[in-house]
Amino acid sequence: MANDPIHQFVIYDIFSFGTIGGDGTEGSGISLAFTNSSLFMALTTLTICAYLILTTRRRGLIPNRWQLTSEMAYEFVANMVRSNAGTEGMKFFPLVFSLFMFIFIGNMFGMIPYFYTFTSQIIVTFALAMLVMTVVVAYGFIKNGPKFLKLFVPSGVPGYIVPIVTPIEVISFLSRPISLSVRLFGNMLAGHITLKVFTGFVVSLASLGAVGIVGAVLPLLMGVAITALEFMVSTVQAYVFAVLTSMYLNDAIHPSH
Amino acid sequence: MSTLARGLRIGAEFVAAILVGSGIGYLIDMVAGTTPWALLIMFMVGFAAGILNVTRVVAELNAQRSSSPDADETD
Repeated sequence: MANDPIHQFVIYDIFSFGTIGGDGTEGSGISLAFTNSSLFMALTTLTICAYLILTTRRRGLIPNRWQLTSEMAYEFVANMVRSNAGTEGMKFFPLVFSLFMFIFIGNMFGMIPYFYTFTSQIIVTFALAMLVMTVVVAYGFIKNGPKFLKLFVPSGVPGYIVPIVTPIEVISFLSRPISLSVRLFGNMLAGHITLKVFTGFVVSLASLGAVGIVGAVLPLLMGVAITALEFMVSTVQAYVFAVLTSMYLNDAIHPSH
Repeated sequence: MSTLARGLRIGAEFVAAILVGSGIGYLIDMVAGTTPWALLIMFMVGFAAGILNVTRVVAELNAQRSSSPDADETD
């Protein structure tokens, strides 16, 4: 079982609140439980809160080292929101910053051995993506009213092409939460499986004797390289998620593009 | 953004549009009982939306690149 590369994604209940509905058999109804996935989501949230509270506790005009890191995180996300959604987009800064920190810290937790990577579950990433799209659609309609639908009718298109272009634009819009969630989930899942497969080779080869130990050096080197790559992918995916969130929010603020 | 992230992003945008288009077509077929015509037509529309997504992403990446010429080192 130790070599099973999928085993790391198993979800188990830590304590159950019981099931709603169903007929009493295994797997029926909606089971409410605090799982290992929930545990790491809670840990991530606590870590972010603790980090931000502790680093900004003794605020100074001349920041100390810890305060500097949280100010850098703030500046990084603030610049991203400003350049993609304009100054008006800054009212959504708390949302984008929370999403960025949640995904980033969650991915980083996933890189620690024996820790669970909750971003490798598509339902988690899809829920995050749907949160973003709900905010975009709701704010778009509240701020622009029916003019928000102009998003689906590009300006400067002759009237007879509109019936062809509009379904394409609608599908393009509907595909956003899918691409947003599948990208994050796919990267984390594939990365962790690759990591496990390559490091699993080290153990299997080394158990074959002297020749195997020499051969095991190659997958070991590969494992080190892939670990570095995974750290990069974790960071980049959190960044991409936040950038795309601010770009979609830009569509809600300025619907005619 | 790294080259890897760029490639994965373009791939995901393209596949997602096709999936959504086919899914809508399948649902229309289920409701209207017109199997397989709506699926086929919406697959094509989804394909077009995928191409649209990809051209948008590439245009935007090109715009980023030309606006910040020193971005090449950080790739």
